[in-house]
Amino acid sequence: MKLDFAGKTAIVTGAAHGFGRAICLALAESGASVWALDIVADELAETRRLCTQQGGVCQSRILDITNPIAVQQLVKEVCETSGQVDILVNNAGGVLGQVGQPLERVTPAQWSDIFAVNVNGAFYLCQAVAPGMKAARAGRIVNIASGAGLTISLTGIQAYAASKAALVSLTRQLGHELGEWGITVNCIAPGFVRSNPNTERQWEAMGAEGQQALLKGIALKRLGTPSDIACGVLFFASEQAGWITGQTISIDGGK
Amino acid sequence: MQGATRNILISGGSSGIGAAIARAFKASGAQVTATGVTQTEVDAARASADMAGIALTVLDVRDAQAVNGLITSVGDLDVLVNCAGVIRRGVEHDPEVFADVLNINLTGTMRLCTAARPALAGRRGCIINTASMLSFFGGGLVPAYSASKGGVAQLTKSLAIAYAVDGIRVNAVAPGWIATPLTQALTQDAERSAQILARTPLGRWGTPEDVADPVLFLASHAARFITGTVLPVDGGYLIV
Repeated sequence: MKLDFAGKTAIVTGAAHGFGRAICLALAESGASVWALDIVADELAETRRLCTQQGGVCQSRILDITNPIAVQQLVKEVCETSGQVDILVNNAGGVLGQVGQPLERVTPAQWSDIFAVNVNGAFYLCQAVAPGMKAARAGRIVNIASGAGLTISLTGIQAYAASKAALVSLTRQLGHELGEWGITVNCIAPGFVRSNPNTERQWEAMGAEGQQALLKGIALKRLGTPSDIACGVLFFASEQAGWITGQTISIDGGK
Repeated sequence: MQGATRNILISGGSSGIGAAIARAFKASGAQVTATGVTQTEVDAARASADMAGIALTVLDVRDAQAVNGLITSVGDLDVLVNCAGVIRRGVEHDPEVFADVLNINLTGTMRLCTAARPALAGRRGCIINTASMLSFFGGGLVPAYSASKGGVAQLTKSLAIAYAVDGIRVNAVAPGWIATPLTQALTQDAERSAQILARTPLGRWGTPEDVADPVLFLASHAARFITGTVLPVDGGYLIV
């Protein structure tokens, strides 16, 4: 199956490393014009460099997705430069360096900070791209949730699990709302992948025994890679997935 | 998304969704064997120009000996697609009809999976089963079809665990309302069709090709870390 994104414009959030970088590279390699967004400047520049090095088209911008005005301005800039936004990948999110702690000790700020990035950011971006996609009567939105949004979080971080579940629900709801305009909204729920400093810390914290237990629980007996996740994103973003909407697919090796 | 010539077997691949899957694999450069339940079906498919180059053969998935014989004759496999299935709307409350539908849709899928496992293990291949929207909700007129498709979803997850040791991935697609000869009565019934479309966010009937592309994805290297998944392909019908 050859996926071709020539002439398509894609926005990817959380593009500085991990899944986001792999998604940018895969989209750029398949011909898309990619807008890579993140708040981490150095690594974001590296994502852009890697995309360009392999012959792809990639622009990068520093963007705080929790600021709805900044999000609107960014999407306006993309539309003015590249025309229509065809593909939005809401990948930004995570645990913001937090670690699991008992419920009673979580501060309101810790709770809401994670929601602001994982849910509000995705919501603001969907809002910003919707008018253009409706006008084009086409569009693809792909959200990156987590296995934590479907079951429990290995990290023990309540806001992480709840916010990722919110993303699964937002996917369904927007799939319903936007279907009329030929826009599909789908979601990927990755299993544990070592893809950024946070997941590296989590992996270390498991210790040798915990790492073995995690691997043993995965049917395919290996950890996933950012590229495994990017492949799923490209499928949902493609013409070939045109009759799928509102769905969340686990890419977790059969955990 | 994939490389060398692959060997594909599709049960129920002589018409409808199965035939679209067979054509899509053929177009991707694969060697494809597709089965139909009767000689008449197979002959009709053979006469169709768009099935050119696809090996067609008769297979009743209730016949264990025939299943084993076919698997032996096709050799090492990259992909098994279980698409053979029946629906006996209105008469499925009869326990004998019920058992027969289960025997075809669910046990037939299991028969092919069991028989093909060694042939798939040789190439670290994969299986794609056909579930349904009725894997997720009930159907008063089709208790056997619904039970069988609910079973296919659970079978898919269970075999994903069991076969992972051989490097075999097992997934399913769950097609929604697809315009095929089987649903022609519905697509032509203006009132019923309008009801279905009103509940479908993407606002149109699906085509067999809409299902074939996601099957090719699940069978591709791009889906290498996906196993045990049941993927609805339904224009959003299930989310409403």
